[in-house]
Amino acid sequence: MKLLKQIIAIIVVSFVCSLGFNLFSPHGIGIFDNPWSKHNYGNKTYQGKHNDQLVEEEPVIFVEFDRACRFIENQEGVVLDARTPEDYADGHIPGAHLLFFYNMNEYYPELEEQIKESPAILIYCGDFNCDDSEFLANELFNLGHAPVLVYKGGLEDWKTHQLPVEKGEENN
Amino acid sequence: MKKLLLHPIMLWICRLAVAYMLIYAAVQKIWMPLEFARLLKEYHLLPNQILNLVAVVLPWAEIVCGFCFISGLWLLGASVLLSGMNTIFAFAIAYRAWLIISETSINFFDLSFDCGCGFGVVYIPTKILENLILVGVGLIIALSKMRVQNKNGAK
Repeated sequence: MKLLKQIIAIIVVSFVCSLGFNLFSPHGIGIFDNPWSKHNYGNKTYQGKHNDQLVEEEPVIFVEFDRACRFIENQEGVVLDARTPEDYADGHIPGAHLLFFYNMNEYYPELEEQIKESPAILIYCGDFNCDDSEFLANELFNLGHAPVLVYKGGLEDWKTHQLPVEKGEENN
Repeated sequence: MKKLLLHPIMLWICRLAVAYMLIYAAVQKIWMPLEFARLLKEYHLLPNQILNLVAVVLPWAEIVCGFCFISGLWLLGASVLLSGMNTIFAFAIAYRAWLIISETSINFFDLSFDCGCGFGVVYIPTKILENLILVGVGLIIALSKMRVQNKNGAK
């Protein structure tokens, strides 16, 4: 009985401390947020500026290289890099902004206005195996931003098409 | 051997070592809860809806247990929790290792990954062994505490 009471006491104290700390920590996260679920979007593709209605209900739209390229060329919206600051500095798609998914509290406020004003958002990370662009897309959708496009091939795919990359840190 | 393991100085050293490990590992996770949640996701054992909650609470459970080991407060509960948590961790790591092995056919004894334990990428066979040793240490501390309580009760 004493053992059970002690275990319950430890669990209760842990919950109180963790939730309190998370509330006031600059790195705190939404306890019941779920940016981790993957969705099956079938073959739906984003058509461009004039057909935003198509994607309003969809949290994330996956796009291939061609579509991502057109998005960037036509300056259809803001391009975000979900990787680490170090990876970003090593090379990123020209014009992309750094929004490191695991430290959104630091990077998001600086870009919030720009993202809000942007008609669409394109996100990428490392390569086809990287899920961070999708997690970031889910998170931005939850924050009310849409449409959100994910360039699943990421920087590796970009490089395989022999397109230029920009080096250096974010300077906004 | 039994005398040595249950010697008060030996138990103190074990308690301090375990407390240090728990608190050190927890502090690494507390500052990057989202990263920790992603690492938990890699295990495919928890529903996505509760990953963030577990990522926030688990490190604090380790910290509270760590302080229990240092202070002696709720020591029995902390020892049993330590053993319980490390049994689950050992099984979870073994399960993830099995998933990786079945997908990539890497040899178990060549396997390293970031298990979300707060120490970055680690060699998995050693990590599982370490977890099992912590299970044993938790049980020894719990047994010694129960012995002391029984003695006091008998008096």
